[in-house]
Amino acid sequence: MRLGMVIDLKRCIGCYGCQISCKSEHGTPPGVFFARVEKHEEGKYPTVRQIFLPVLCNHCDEPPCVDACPTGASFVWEDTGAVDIDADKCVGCRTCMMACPYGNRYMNDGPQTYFDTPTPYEERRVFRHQRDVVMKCNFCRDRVKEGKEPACVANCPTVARIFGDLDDPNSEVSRLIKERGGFPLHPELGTKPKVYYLPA
Amino acid sequence: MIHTNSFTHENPWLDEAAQLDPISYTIAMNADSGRKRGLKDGDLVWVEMEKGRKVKGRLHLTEGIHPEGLGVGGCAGHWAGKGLPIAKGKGVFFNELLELDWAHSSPVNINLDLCVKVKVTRAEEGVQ
Repeated sequence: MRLGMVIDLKRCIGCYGCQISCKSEHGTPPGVFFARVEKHEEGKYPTVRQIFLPVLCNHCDEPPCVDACPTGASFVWEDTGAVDIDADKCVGCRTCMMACPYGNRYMNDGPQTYFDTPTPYEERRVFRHQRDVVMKCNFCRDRVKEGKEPACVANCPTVARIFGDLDDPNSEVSRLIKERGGFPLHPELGTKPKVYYLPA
Repeated sequence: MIHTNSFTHENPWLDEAAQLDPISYTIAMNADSGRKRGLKDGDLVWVEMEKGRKVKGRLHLTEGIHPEGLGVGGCAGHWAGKGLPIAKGKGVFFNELLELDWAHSSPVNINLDLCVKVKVTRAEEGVQ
């Protein structure tokens, strides 16, 4: 089973809901957001349009971050194909951050709170993460184990994000990629991402 | 641009997301209009109205706005430092440019008229 995601750029309205819900689910510290939304504008006045591009870890099939890791902290889960980090093994060398061509890995060495004193939420969620190691999206492994979808997928108000098994030809993700011409970002880099986009 | 009214600027998560969008805290101007005035994307500018009141902000040149318009996001430009640490200094507080009298208020909901004739000039970096 290879879990992947399809993001429909025709439906994305740039609400940043995925970014905020991921932040809320995982309690990432300031400056770290596993899911983020980039914006692109095209056209000339008066025929202009904005395209929003939600990006996240692509959980590549040939992840350069896993190859680059000197301690084996970066690894691929056998059962789902998701790429994850074992915080206990990570020494914070950041080689994986340099190896990732998409810039989706973050170092947890910045301030841990937004205000002077931590909020109760921050104490419970943000402080859980190990300091001075690298952190990243893991396709919400805890939620998926319980049969739920990742937070960003469950939250999307326009149902622009779809999650499923890329190895199953009848799953919604596989059908959408085939029927609507799904493409990954920067396929020429050869990392074989598992996050596909449907054209806007 | 995900802020609504004024207090969302103090929400750190929304502020973090807004910083990814170039129009959130800048003054948007039509790209051709900006080039005609010799302005570049990212320039610090003064926006001055007829009576001389002015505000300062960063320019963002975009195709997505009318050539004669300026776009300033929401109720930003908070100045209270102690009470609003996240929001302080972000965005432009353009109320300075508006006229506060009955002639410029809507008779239905007392909203102020936002149609102000302004001139945009480049400002010096690092000067108050």
